[in-house]
Amino acid sequence: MLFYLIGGWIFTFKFSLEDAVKELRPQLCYQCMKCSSGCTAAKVVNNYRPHEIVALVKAGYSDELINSDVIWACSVCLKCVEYCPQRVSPFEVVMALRNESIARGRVPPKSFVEMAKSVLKVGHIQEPMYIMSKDFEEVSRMELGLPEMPKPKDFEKFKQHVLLVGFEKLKEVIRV
Amino acid sequence: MKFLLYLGCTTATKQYGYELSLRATLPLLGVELEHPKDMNCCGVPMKGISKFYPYYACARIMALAESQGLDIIAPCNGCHLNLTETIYKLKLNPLLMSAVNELLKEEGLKYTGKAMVYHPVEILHDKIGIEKITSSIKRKLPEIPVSSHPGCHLIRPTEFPRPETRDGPLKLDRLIEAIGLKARDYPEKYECCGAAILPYSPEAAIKTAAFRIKRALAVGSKAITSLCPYCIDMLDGKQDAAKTITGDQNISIPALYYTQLLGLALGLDEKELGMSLNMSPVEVLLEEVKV
Repeated sequence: MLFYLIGGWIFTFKFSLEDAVKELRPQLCYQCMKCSSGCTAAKVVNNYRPHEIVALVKAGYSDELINSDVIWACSVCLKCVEYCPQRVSPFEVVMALRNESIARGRVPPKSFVEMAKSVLKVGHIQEPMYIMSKDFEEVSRMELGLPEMPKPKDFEKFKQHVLLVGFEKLKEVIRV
Repeated sequence: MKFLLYLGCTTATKQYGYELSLRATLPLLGVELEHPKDMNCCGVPMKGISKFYPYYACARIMALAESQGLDIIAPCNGCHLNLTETIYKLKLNPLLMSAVNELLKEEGLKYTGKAMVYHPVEILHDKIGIEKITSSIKRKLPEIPVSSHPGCHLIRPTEFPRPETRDGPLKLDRLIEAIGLKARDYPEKYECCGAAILPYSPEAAIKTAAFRIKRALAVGSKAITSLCPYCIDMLDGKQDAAKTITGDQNISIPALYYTQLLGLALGLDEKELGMSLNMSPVEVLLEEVKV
């Protein structure tokens, strides 16, 4: 764990679920289900209901949620953040659970692993692709006359910092 | 007006039509675009991996812009949200600001909060202005009903200022009317395209997009337009998949970037605007738009 000493304050990039829960106050939730009624993911993913997730965290079942894949279904539409009359923000609760699951060394769904690998390799979630046009031509950035996609200049330093701000455990698990 | 064009991953790696049309239209309206030499991912899809990564990544982008003395254009809704959120949170939390700067110092960068970030909808509506657009277009497009899909992150969250608001007409709708088209409301206008569900379940994500398209067709829209690479990726590129998954063969509507429509009004060639890269039947719309 790395600490940064700044003007007498100790700031750490380590994430803790307890702190997040304290800050997000899911105990204020009174289960009005407004979040689930608007939720994009709840309409298409069977067992994903934000109000249930908040209720489970409130009742102390965070471990079970962290070990389940369902927390990765959120579509980041942020409607629950706006709808909640208690300002609980189920979105932030889900993100805190995801962060904790990564910190405990669980592997996220495959696409997230691919994106994280790419960030550690080129600094972007994916590399420029060949795209099939309507005339069945495969085109790349170069063929379209677009300039090259920039990468972080000092890549080693960038990678070191990415690992420091929370990718360390994930890197160990996915073995990049 | 000169800006740094921070494309973000989705636009720069597969949504080339957006980049081509941005680079073709904005200079005609007096906006100079600078291509960055050093860039990284903004961290929107990585928020679940680490809460702090987006702060570092976005502060790095803003610091790079600051070192060149330019403001940023972020054409992706996700990037724009994350960059704005970082500016807002870092300014509120000096501790976080100095911690992030501690990291940036090792790369010879510093973020002070001077550089600003704009979305193309703000550039077109607020910086260039409707008047300039109406006076620079070569011809008005016919009055075809077109639905706008601004995308979640252009409106939400309301915690810090966003380019669009649900109270009152959208800037995007005003821009659509400015080039002669007719803005047609549809019930799913402020909804999510479902792009972020893709990593968890592609089927669920495509079902979401299919539902949006069906509702737009139901109100008689002839096209869907947006200024978000994720939304167009879902609404344009996934129409064939939507047909297979839902079994509804009627899912077929031209979906394209507003900058592509603007380019047509400015008299640009469809090839320059990258319209052969759209997977939806844009040729149907082109037929109707041509006089």
